Order: sequence, then structure tokens, then C-alpha cells
Amino acid sequence: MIEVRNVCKTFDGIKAVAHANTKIMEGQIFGLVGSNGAGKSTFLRMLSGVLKADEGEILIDGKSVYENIEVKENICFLSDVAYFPANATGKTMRDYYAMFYKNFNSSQFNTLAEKFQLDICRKISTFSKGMQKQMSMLLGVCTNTKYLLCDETFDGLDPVMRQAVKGLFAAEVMNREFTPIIASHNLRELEDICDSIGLVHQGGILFTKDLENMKFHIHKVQCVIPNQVQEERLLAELDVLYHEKQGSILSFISRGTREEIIERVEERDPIFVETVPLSLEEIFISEMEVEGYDVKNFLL
Amino acid sequence: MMSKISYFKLIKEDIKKRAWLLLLSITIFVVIIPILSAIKIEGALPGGVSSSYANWKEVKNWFVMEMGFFNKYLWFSIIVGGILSGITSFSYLYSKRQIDFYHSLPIKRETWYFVNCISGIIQIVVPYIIGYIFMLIIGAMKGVASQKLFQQSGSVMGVTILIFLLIYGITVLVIILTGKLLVGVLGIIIFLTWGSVIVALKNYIMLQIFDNYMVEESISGFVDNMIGRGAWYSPILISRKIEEYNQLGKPMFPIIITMIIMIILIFTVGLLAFKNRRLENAGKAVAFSKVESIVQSIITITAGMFFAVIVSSQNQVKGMKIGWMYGIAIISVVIVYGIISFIYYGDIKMIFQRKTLFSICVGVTLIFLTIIRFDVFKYDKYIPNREKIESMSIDSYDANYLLDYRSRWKGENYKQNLEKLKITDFNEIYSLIEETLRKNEKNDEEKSVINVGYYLKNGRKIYRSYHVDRKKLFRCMDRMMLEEGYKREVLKGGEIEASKINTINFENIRAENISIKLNEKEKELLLETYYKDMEKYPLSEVFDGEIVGKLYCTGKGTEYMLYVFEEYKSVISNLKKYCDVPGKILQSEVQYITVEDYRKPHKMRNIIIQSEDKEKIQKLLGCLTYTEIGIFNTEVEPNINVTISTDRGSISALIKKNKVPDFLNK
Repeated sequence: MIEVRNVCKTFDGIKAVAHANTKIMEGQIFGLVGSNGAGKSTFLRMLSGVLKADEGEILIDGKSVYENIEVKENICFLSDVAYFPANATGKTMRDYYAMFYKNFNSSQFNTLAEKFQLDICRKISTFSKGMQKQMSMLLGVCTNTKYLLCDETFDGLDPVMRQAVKGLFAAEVMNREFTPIIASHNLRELEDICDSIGLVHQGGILFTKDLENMKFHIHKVQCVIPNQVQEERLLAELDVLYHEKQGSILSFISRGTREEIIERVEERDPIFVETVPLSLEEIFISEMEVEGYDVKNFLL
Repeated sequence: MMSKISYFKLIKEDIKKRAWLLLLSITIFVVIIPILSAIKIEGALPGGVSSSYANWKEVKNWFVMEMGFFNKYLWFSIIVGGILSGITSFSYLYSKRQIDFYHSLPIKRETWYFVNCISGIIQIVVPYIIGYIFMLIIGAMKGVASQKLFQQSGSVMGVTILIFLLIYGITVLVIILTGKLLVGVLGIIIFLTWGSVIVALKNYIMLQIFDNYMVEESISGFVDNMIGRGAWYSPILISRKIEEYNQLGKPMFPIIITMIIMIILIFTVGLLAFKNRRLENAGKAVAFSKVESIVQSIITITAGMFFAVIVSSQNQVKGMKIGWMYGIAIISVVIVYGIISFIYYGDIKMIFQRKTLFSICVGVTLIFLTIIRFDVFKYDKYIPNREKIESMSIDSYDANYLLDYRSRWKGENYKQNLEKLKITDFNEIYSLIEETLRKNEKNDEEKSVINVGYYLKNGRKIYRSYHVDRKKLFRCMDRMMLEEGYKREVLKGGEIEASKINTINFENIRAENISIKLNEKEKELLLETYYKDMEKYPLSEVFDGEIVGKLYCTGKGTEYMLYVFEEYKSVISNLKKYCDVPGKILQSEVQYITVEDYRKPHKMRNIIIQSEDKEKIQKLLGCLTYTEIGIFNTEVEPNINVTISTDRGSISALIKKNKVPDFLNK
């Protein structure tokens, strides 16, 4: 488990991370979402032990990460722009990583490289940006570390590769103790792979929620209730995050299970009622408005 | 915990990553320099095209020097290698991408530091050692290697490696302290030369401002000071000093120990800086904000003082015009501070953002300048309390001209030689100095320069240089010469060994240079007689006297020039056995005399007196002196030159003071 307690990080008077608190459980794919400059990269660099927090503590499996080799051996960090030494090839990088990570699986790397059609004898500097990201990803997965921190790693991958990497992550999570933490500013990107999502905004983690839980317990309903009073009572009874009325149609987003919400609506003798699928983005916007943030254009 | 095998692998990987550096190093040390050496050896062999050596022994001696502490190719390559290796070892700290990559790996910072340092050292030192051994082998094959060469090669390689480590360690430290390559390179230049710059600066400023400041060596000029005395404080210049030191046969142990201590200190500071470096400061000019301010302040204040002194001292022998001094100081501080701020931030709007620091720089510069310009601490007026002095030492510049004892200094500086010129009966000279300070006269014509060392009872040493009355000084010196140790040191007569003198020439007042053939015993007798005459006659009488010639005693690698004064009766009597020692020029020898009269600058005169004009010739010959020493005392007319043409050649002379014949005054 990763525990982040009241962590702060300041650069030249600018608070990049401000009193961040969160827990990331093992065995799940965690998504870290936030806009540009929210503090995602800084947060990941502190988790990986590259930067030292100014305040607070970061515990990975109960131990502080900074300058702790034992802990860092269980972490692999993939930066948003991958770096490879000059003249490095897939082969040399494989051997280089194997020096540091005792569980590095060279044969798995060779197999994956072949599957992803990456020539490990070719200089990485001649790869495209996307191919370099793929190479970086493969190296990261093959380290067989418990935690893999990916900073906007999916950005720059084509849709096919994105799916392939997602499949790879899913397989790894199933086959061993593996907890990837993926930072992105693209919520849609994370929607179909992550188990939990943490929202980073202005250096702080606004909330961390289980995705399924979130989807299961928030629903959007459209209905027509002829009686105005009944309508108002309905809105008062439910845990409504958002509502609007267009003509006679009432639309609202409410917490609770689908069955509970529909039952309540039907008690008001509606003329019409249906649930509307909610995108993760809509769920987030609603949750954030509850938190007091008006962020209609917040997420891309 | 990293195993030894892992360390080895990491070092190997780092070397592979910088393979180009290793290749470059091998090319230079193992290929180019040995080839150049072989070519030079070919040329130096006896009978070689460019050879100036008469025999194999001389060539071998040359090769020993060539393979010594200051071979310029090796020196230059070691400096460049140290800087390049240092930069490439840690320049990844300037890139956020590389920092993310390397510092996310499970490896401690200390390990990274040692791995990078060791691999950087290996890539230069190993090729250097191999290349040096190649050069030894080439020398041996060509027959120019001597036993002395092999004896010194160990210490030469060792000291060169230490110099490399100094340069490399400083470069590494600078790279760790900075966050941008440009700033890093500038920082390297500053750190590698700052010591020598400060020494030169101190000398320059003190000389400009204080009348009584004593320099440590006879070096003038800022750059000469940097590469002279200042070379000890710069790892890129120290090789030359070590070579000089070695040539003088001085012990190397203290230097080596000092260098080792410095190296350990530099690498330790480097490690601490690396461990505490905030990696997010990649891309900033300086990675440690406190260092930023300190470096900027030091450079700004130093530059401000330097430019204030150097510019405002123009057109003046000494001292500065106050208005110019303060004005130039402020302008210099503004410019230098602004340049450094621009280098740091790259934004003109931020140049004077830190107003407090800027104000401190201006304030401190002006305060320092005020203190030294107005001699607030009374440096020039200072003389220790007589009761607190245990001994004094006096070195007279005039005495040196006559006695030439400085030519026998073995490369030591003024302070070191003052240690040998100590006297305990110093009351008279102390009173003379007191009187000089009290009167504070600026007329230099009657003055003579002395360097003085005060050795206090509490162990403190104070040095000054004074302009004292010449005649009074020589009387003081007569008294000082009663102390045996002082006399021996000044006269140094006994140091001239007759057995090491090959040739003796005597130059008389006719400027004739006569070779005197003497056997061993005769040489000994001549030198002994000379020394006895020197001891017999008080300096105050001799310095005012006439010389009748100069004795040149030449040995292997040495030459002594001894003045023969007309008071040295025994020496003259001895010399007359072998050559003519005329006391004056006779009228009958004169063909004509030319007088160049510069007393009136706008009315220079060139007067020729023919031999037929016997009266004028006679009068003129009666008032001439043939000693150039007269230039250094005030007993001659400074603006009249006389040239006597005889059938043996031309002779230069001067007219004694106040003895100018009437016909020249018309």
C-alpha cells in the first residue's frame, strides 16, 4: 500500500503539491487525473524517490521511500518523456535495467518486444516518440516491480497500442502483485483501465474513489413528475448532486443505487422515468461541484 | 547493498556510456603525445636538424626536463581531460529527464557519486599512465633515457595525477553546485583561477594604494602575478611552480600532502553537495540558493574594487583620485552584478530584483575602498612597538646592485630571504624607519628602497617596504654588517667556489672585456682577496665610491658579477698581474667626446669636443664617473650622457653631481 500523508512540495514559492493525502491499495490499477500543472508529475516523482517532499511523508509498504533502496527496488518510474542514453538499444537497456532490478525478466522482455514489433538491436534514438514510449513501458513492466509509476505514458500511443498496453497491465495485475499508477490529464483514457481514480487539482488530491463504486452509486435520471410539490419532495429526499429542468423534464444526478432511486421516483407517480448512462467525466464534474469547484471545462 | 561486482558493472556501464571520452583520452595520451615526443627526441639528438645539444648527456638532461612536471602537452591534456571528464560525469544533473531516469533507479546517491567519479578518473588517468610509460620506452629505445629519468618518473606521474584530481574534483563540485551548462563552465573557469586572481588582485591593489606594502616576489603586472605567486593557488597553473620547486631541489612532501588534503576536502564537499542537492533545481543557474548569493557577492565586490583601483589609478604613480574611485566602483558593481544576475535568471527585469543583496555589494565595496584608500587601519604608518620586536631583517635594493647578492637567491621569494637577513641590533635602523614615517617625504631622489621584516616576540611576522634616506641607510648597514650572520648573507662571498668557476673576465672602465687565465689556486686567491676587501671597507664608503671595473665569474649554469671598487686595493693589485686596470681615461687616449645634454627637454644639445680642444677635454675628464651605479645614487647629473671615443672603442660615462664644466652650461 502507498500512503501519502500531508505531503507538500514547493518550487520557488510555487506550491506544486499542497497537503496531499491519499492511500493507494495494492493489486489495483490507480489513475491519477488532473489538468496540466496540477501536480501529477511532481507527485509521482516524490513517490518514486526522485524528489524529496518538503513536508509530510510518503510510505510505501510502511517504509519511507526517499533514498531507501529496499523500497525503490519495488518501484519503477516511467517519466512522461522517456530518456535513453545515447546509442542505447533495447538490448542494452534490458541489460541495464537487469543490473538494478533483480527480478527483471529478460525473456519476457524479448517476447514482448517481438509482440510489439520493436527491434531490440536498433538504436532507440531512431524510434518514433510512440515507439520510445512503448519501449519504456515494456522495460517498466519487465522489471517485475510491485509498483509501476507511469507519467502520461498512454499519451502518444496509438489506439491499438493503447489497448495492447492496457491488456498487458491487466494481465500483470492478474498474474502477480502489481500496482500500476497511471497519471494522465485524459479521464476517458483512464476510464476503461483504472480501478480507482485520484483527482489532482492545484497540488492537492481532491478525492480518491473506486471507479466501479462511483459508477454504481451515482446515476442520472430523467423524469416527468406532474406535481410540482412531489417533484420538490423527491429532490429533497434523494442525495442529489445536480439537477436541471428543461420544460417539464426534470434531469438530476443522484447518489444511491439505481433501484433505490427509481423506487423513490415511482412513488411520485411520474409520467416518464428513465436512467441515462453517465460518463466518468460527468460523474467527476458533479463530484467536484459538490466539493465546491466549478470546473465545467476542467477536464479535456 | 551494492556488491563489489555491481560497482564494477556500474563503472563499466558508465565508461561505455562515455566511450567517446575514453577514446579521445587514449588518442591523445597513448598515440598523439608519444608520437610528438618521438619526433622531438629525433630532433634533439646530437647532429639532429634542430638539435642545439652538443652531446648525449645534454640530450638526456633535456629529456628529463621534458618528462618532468611541466611538459606542456601533458599539462594541457590533463587540464582539458580533468574538465571534460568532470563535466560529463555529472552534467546529467542539468537535465530533468536524465535526473528522473537515474535517480528513480534503486541506487543511493553516494553510490552514484562514487561510480561517476571513479569512472571519470579511470578514463583519463589510465591512458595517461600508459602514455607516459610509452614515452619512457621510446626514450629508452632512442638512448635518451637516464637513471634520473626513471627515478623521477614515479613522482612526476603521481603529482600529475594529483593535479588532475584537483581539477577534476573542482569541476565536479562546480557542476553539482550549478544547474545550467553555461553557468557551470563559467563557474569552472572561476573556481580554477580564482585563487591566483585573488593573489594578483591583492598585490595589485596593495601596491597601488599603500606606499609601504612589500611584495613577495619581483613580479610586476597582473597576469605575471597570477602565473607567478598566484600559481600556487590555481590547479591549472601549479604544475609550473612545482617544476620550479623541483629544479631548486626543494622537498616535495609538503606540497604532496597539501594537495592530498585539498583533494579529500574537495571530494568530500562534492559528496555532501550531491547528497543534499535538490534535484528539482535542474535548469536553474545555481542549484543552491545560498551559494548563488555568496558567489555573486564575492565576484561583484572583488571586481568592483579591482576596476575602481585600476581605472582611477591611471596617469598617477600612486594613489587614486577619490571621485573617480567611488564612481568607477559603483559603475563596476552595477555592471558586474547585472551581468551575473542576467546569467542567473536570463531576464533583464530580474537583474536588480534582489535589492538587499545589491545594496550589500555596493556598500561593502565602498566601505572596503574607503578603508584602504584612507588607510583607516594605518597600514602605511604602522611600525611595531620596539619592545615587542625580537629581531628585524633588512634587504636593501641598492646594496643588491652593488653586491649582487640577490642573483644568488635560490628561487626563494623576498620573505624567505628576509629570514636569512635577521639582525638583533636593530635600534639604529628602527629609528631611521621611525624618522622616515614621521617625515613622510615624497622626494624619492635621495631615497633607497628597503624590504623589512619585523619578527615579534609573540611569533608574529610583519613585512613592509620603505623609502629611506640612502646615506643614513648605508650607515645603518655598516652597523648591521658587524653581525656576522648578516654580513655573510649579504656578501655571500664564501659561496662562490673557485673550483666551479671556469672563466673569469674583467671589464674595465674602457669597456674592454679581458679574459683572465688563472689556475685553481690563483682563482681561489683572487676570490679570497675580493672577499677580504669587501669585509674591510664599510659599505657607506664603498657605495659612494668609484668602480674601476667588473669581474665576471662564469661556471656551469652560473655567472657572478662582482664590482671592483677603487677602495679594493688588494683585488686591484692582484688583477694588475694579469691585465690593465686603469683608474681613469687619459687625455691622450681620447679622439673626441660627445656630450648629450637633456637638461632642457625642449632644447636638447649634442656637443662634440675634439681632441685638439685639450683644455675642455681635460676639464671634462676630471669630472667624469664611469660607474652606472651612479645612476642609483644621486652623485651624478642624471640628464647628461658622455661618450668618449678612443681608438679602442667607445666608453660611456656620467658627470659627477655639481661638477658640470662651465662651457657646458653656456
